[in-house]
Amino acid sequence: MKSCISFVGLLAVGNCDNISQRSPTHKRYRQFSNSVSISKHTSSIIQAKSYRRSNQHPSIYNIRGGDTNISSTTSLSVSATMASLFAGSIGGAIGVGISYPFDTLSTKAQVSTGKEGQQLSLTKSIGRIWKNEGVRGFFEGVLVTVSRRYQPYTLIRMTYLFTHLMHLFPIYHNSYLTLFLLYTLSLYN
Amino acid sequence: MIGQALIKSIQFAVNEITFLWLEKNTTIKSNLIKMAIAGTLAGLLSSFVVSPIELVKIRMQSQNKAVDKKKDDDASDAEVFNNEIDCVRWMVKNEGWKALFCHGLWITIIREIPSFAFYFVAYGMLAKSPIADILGGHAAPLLFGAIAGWAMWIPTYPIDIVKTIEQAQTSEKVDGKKKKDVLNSRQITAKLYRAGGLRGFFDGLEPKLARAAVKHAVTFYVYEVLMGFLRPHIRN
Repeated sequence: MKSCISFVGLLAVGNCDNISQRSPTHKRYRQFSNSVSISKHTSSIIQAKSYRRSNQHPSIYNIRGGDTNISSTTSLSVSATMASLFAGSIGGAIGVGISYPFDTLSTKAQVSTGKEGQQLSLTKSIGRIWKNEGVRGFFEGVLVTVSRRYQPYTLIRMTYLFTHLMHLFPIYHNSYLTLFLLYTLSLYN
Repeated sequence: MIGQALIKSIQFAVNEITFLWLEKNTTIKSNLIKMAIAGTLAGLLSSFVVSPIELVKIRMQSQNKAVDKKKDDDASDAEVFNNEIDCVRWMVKNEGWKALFCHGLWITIIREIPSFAFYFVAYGMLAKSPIADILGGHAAPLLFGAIAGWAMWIPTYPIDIVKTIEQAQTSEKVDGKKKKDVLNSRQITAKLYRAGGLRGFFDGLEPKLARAAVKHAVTFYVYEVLMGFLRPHIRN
């Protein structure tokens, strides 16, 4: 349950998973406290375990559980919480960023209802924002909204994981992950 | 920054402790109810962070940088901000620190608590239903996220509109006196009801729902792509 607060929904995925599968609570705590560790042994046992586990739970959460074979060549292991925190924070930021214009429209409508007591039509609202400010008008305040996802606590953990990932997996260098990092950084500038 | 980190860790801890406490000391069997209770407490705590952030967001969104100010009468007396920092600075100067953190705090708490509960319960119920198997791994999280988002927004939208209107009004002070009358939540609710009846509480709902759908689609897609990379490395 720990990771559900800031990335409200999507971490519910990881959390349902946690709750239904691992009831011994101390184990979850331990995973939480040392969420990233690099073991020196190539973990074929872990891989086999995770494969079995994903077969035991063919739910919507374990879509690609056993079908990839990267871990036999690398030595990184991540806790489930950490992984979903990482994926969730990046996914959430992009999701918020892309859907933000709708939020602006909604707020404009709400405020105008409060002021004039009448509805501002959507087309009129879009036209007005476009005329006055252009594209930027749709994204006023997006930074502070996205930053909600990047409070220090999350950020430190994310950075930590990311540095390890970049060093260990050349496969990630020209992939989505790099793109997402660049996107995230560009949001800050 | 430190304060936020503190609040964040408190949230995590409270959420976890609540869940564990419920698991040990109560006879509630359903995970959904436990999640709803834990989520409610998390919602209560997160309100203290969410409220100032949403306040800045709403001020940024509701400003009107009209080129022709004479035509746009609602822009004539409103402030215009360059960026978020500018906005915060203006608020601290003209309204004080207290307003930054407390303006609309109660209504935020009232909104956050049910929305968390609605979201978790809706998502959990959908994920356990047979629809999940029919849809399969890729479509289900997308669709369920959007539906859970709607289940969250539709009941709490009337609260959200009151909150937005409350936070959009400035409590600017001139010579120690308030320049304008600031309505409280109850007065806003009454005003809205008089002006538009029940229908008035749902203005602007459509873009909000569209937002929830787009947001969840994108979020889950990115989440799944990343988890696809990470899943082989997840430790048991």
